[in-house]
Order: sequence, then structure tokens, then C-alpha cells
Amino acid sequence: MTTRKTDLPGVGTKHTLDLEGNGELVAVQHRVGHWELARVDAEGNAAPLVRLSADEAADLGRILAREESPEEDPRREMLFRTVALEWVTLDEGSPLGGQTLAESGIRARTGASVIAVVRGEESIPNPPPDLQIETGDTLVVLGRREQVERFIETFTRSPGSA
Amino acid sequence: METTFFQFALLLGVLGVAALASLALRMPVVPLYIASGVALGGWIEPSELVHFLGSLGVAFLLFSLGLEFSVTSLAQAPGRFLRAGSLDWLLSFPIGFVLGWLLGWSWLESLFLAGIVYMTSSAVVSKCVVEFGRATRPETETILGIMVFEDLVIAGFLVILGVLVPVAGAVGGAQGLLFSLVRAAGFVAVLVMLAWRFHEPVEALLRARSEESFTLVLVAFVLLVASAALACGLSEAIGAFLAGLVVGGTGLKEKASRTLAPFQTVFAALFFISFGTRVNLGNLGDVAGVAVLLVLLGFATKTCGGFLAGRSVGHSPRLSVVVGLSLVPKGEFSIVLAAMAAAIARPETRIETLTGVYVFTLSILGPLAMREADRITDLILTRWRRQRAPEEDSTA
Repeated sequence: MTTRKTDLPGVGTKHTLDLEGNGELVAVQHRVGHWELARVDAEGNAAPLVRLSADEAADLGRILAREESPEEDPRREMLFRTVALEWVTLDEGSPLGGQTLAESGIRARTGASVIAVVRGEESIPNPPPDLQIETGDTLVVLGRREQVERFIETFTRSPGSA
Repeated sequence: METTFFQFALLLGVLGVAALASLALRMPVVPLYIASGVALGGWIEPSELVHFLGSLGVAFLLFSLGLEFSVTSLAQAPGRFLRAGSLDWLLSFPIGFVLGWLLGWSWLESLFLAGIVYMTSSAVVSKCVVEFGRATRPETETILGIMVFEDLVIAGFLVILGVLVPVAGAVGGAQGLLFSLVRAAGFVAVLVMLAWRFHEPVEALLRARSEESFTLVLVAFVLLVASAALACGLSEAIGAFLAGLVVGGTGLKEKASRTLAPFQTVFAALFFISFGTRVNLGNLGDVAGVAVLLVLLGFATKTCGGFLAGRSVGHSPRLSVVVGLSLVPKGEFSIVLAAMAAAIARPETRIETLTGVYVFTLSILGPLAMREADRITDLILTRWRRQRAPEEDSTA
């Protein structure tokens, strides 16, 4: 695994994490403090992922590094073990294609929530209920582990193979 | 006295409205300052005092350029950005010189035009990068690398011009020429030495004992170096740039930048608006053809230069077009160069009007081109592929 740190004069600092064959994860810390994260594929197309305040980024960093500080809230550790965040790309034939988020009943059927939709180079955080899902979209799904597993089971297999 | 007060109130009020308008229209602020000057030009003759404060604005602008300019970051800059920057320079710098020469301008006037055409507004570009959410994109690193390269070029360019301008104006034959050259070069050398080797005495001189003393001593230092530059036959702008270089090497860099920011805002705005009043749209008719040509050449050479630069560091054709389009915005440095040029250029070159139109157009088109870069790229590449496709079929 390789990481690079480069200067973006007038903007901030850029950190690049090579994802070994899956493009790169890029995190830019702006001069004013906030962070921007994106995934860059091999062709150089960047899909923006998320924008974090300096505090949120620090929290995320602690979670990812699994640092345990004495004043760490034990509930946070618990949360980390039970909550899952998954990227699910919908293949052709997914029953979700053509439905809006409201029609799909994802929450009612699986308990998981869709917190972002990535479509090509565009990403839609907090997607509105009337957003129509298309096959090929990548849904960012948040929930308890079993809820996220149920989501994958229900919606990524075409009806024929199920 | 009342008229002086009133003129300042009017100018600063108009500038404030222009700054608000730039926010509402999501446009860079410099072209709006200039446009306000052009609009007021018919009925306001800026007083000597406005011009003087405007030249302080230029001094502060160049001081902060010098402040940000660090030799160490340059030494660390990856070689590929030097290569990319040089390619862009080769394409977009000589074109202004050639155009000036074809128009029958002197070599010095043409040299100024080359700089005016070439310099991108790094302020506008980095603002657009943030605003359009481009910071994480791979080509952004190249774009900003080229901006650093351009800063290097303008620094060298200012110093060379600084030495050339007094030489061109020197009287007294070969001896006078040599004297001007030695005096100007000597001044630059002393300041560069100060910036390079003598951080501690400078820091001791400027160190903040109180907020007041720091602000006063700093402004006095900038103006002292600027006036020394004038005494050596150089422009005050170069003096201020070198003063920035000296302070930038010390630990007071951030503090100096924060302290001078409000002065720079007010005085540079006055400079842009008084520059605008000297842009005479009445004689635009005579130079309209040249102005359009300048805008087209500037747009085309920067786009092509950026494209080649992008390809040279290994970006795909798609991203390289985005690099090219991102180099289009022009701004403060072209204006500063035009104001310096006006001091030596013949009035019939209309260099201020030409530059005003050039910067105004490209500082509006530039951010638009940047925002729509992906769509424009799609358009260019699909057309290119469509043209290529039949050929490929016939060879298959």
C-alpha cells in the first residue's frame, strides 16, 4: 500500500492512497480546514464521495485507525462493531432499476438506508425519495450488519437467479 | 477637501457594490472593479491621491506575491510540473511578443504584451478549483503546479523588465547604460541576498513588539524598499515584490500576510478602478480588431499549451483539455503589467484599453470554461472521434 502527500498551492494538501488496481482514494484538506474525499478510477475520473468538517475528519480518522483513547465513549466502539457501511453496485436485472427510492421500500423491507447514490461521475448524497434508481448505480447503504446483508441479498440478485 | 472625501466615498462605495455583485453573480471580482472604473471614466477624473493609493495597492499585491513565493517549494516542485509549465510557456508566451512586433510595437512594448497575454490569474483559478469541487481531481495538481511555474516566470520577468526598462530609458550613451544596468542589478542582488541569507536581522527588525508597531514597521519597510527601487531606476512594484521575498523567508510570513490583507483589499481595489477609468472605450473602435485577436489568441494558446502540458505529465486527452481550459482566466497580473507598460509605451499602442478588454473578457470566459470544462471536452472529443472513426474503419 502506498500513500502520497502533495501540495495544492492556494488550495490545500492532497493525500492519495493507492487502492491496488481499484484506482485511488484521494483526500484533500483545504486550507480553511475541511476535507473532501473522492475515488479516482484508472482513467482519472474522480467520483466525489463526501465533504467532512475538520472535526468529522478527525473522528473518522480515529475510527479507521481504531485508536482507543481513555475517554473514548464505549458506545462508539460498539457502534463500530455493529454498524456497516457498504457500496453496492446494481447489476442489470436488479429489481430496483427504474423505481424511485420511495417506491422501492428499501427501508421497510431490509431496515437499511441509502445515504448516497453514485452515478457515473456524479454523486448524490442524501438522495431525495423521488430519485429514480437505475441499474449501474452504486448505492451507499448504511445499517446494522444483518440489515445491509439483507439489502444485498434482496436487491443485487436478478429475479431469475434468486 | 470635501471633493476629495466625496470622491473616495463614491469610489469605495462603487467598489463595495461591485464586490457584492461578484458574489451574487459568482464572478471574479477584478473584472467588475475594472468595469466600474470604465463606467465612471466618463465623469470622474481620479485625483492624484487615488492614483497614489492605487500604486500602494500594486505594491501590496506584489508584496504578497513575493511573500508567497518560496524558493524551497520551488526546489521541491516535481520536475514534471516544470516540464508542463515550460510547454505552456513556450506556446503562450511568445505569441504576445510576435503580435506586438507585427503591430509595429517596440521590443519592450511587445515584451510587456507577451507577459500580459501569458499570465493566468492564480487567484481566480484556485478559487474556481474550490468552488467547482475540483480539488480532488487528478488534473488539478497539474493546473496548480503550472500556476506555481507562472509565479516563477512573473518573478523573473519583473526582475528582467525592471532592469531592462531603465536601461531602455538610459541617457548618456554606453556609460549611462552600463551605470543603469549595474545600479538596477545591484539593487536586485542585495535584496535577493537579504531574502536568501539574512532572515534573522530582518526578523529582529520587524518582530512584533505590539500590533501597532508591527503594522507600522512592516508598511514602512515595504515602502522604503519600494522607494529605494525607484531611486535605483526600478519600479516600485519590483521593490515591493523583493520586500515580500525578504519577509517571506522569515517566520513572520503568515502574520505579515494577515496584517496587510485589509490594506491590500482597499488599495488594490482603488488601483483596479482607476485603471478602469483609463480604459477608453471611445477609442475601442480603433483597436477592436486587435482586442478580439488578442482574446482569441490568449484563449487558444492557453488551451493548447495546457493541453500539451497535461499530456506531457501523462493525463488522458480528456483531462488535458480540462487543464487547458483551466488556464484561461486572466486577472490582476496582466493589469499590473499593463499599468507598468503604460509608463513607457507610446499612447498609440492603447495598451491599457487592450489589456482591460482582454482581462475583462477572459476573466469572465475563463471561469465559465472551467465550470463547463467536462461538457466542452465531451463535445470536442466526440467530434474528434467521429472524424477519426471512418479512417479507422478504412484501415481495418
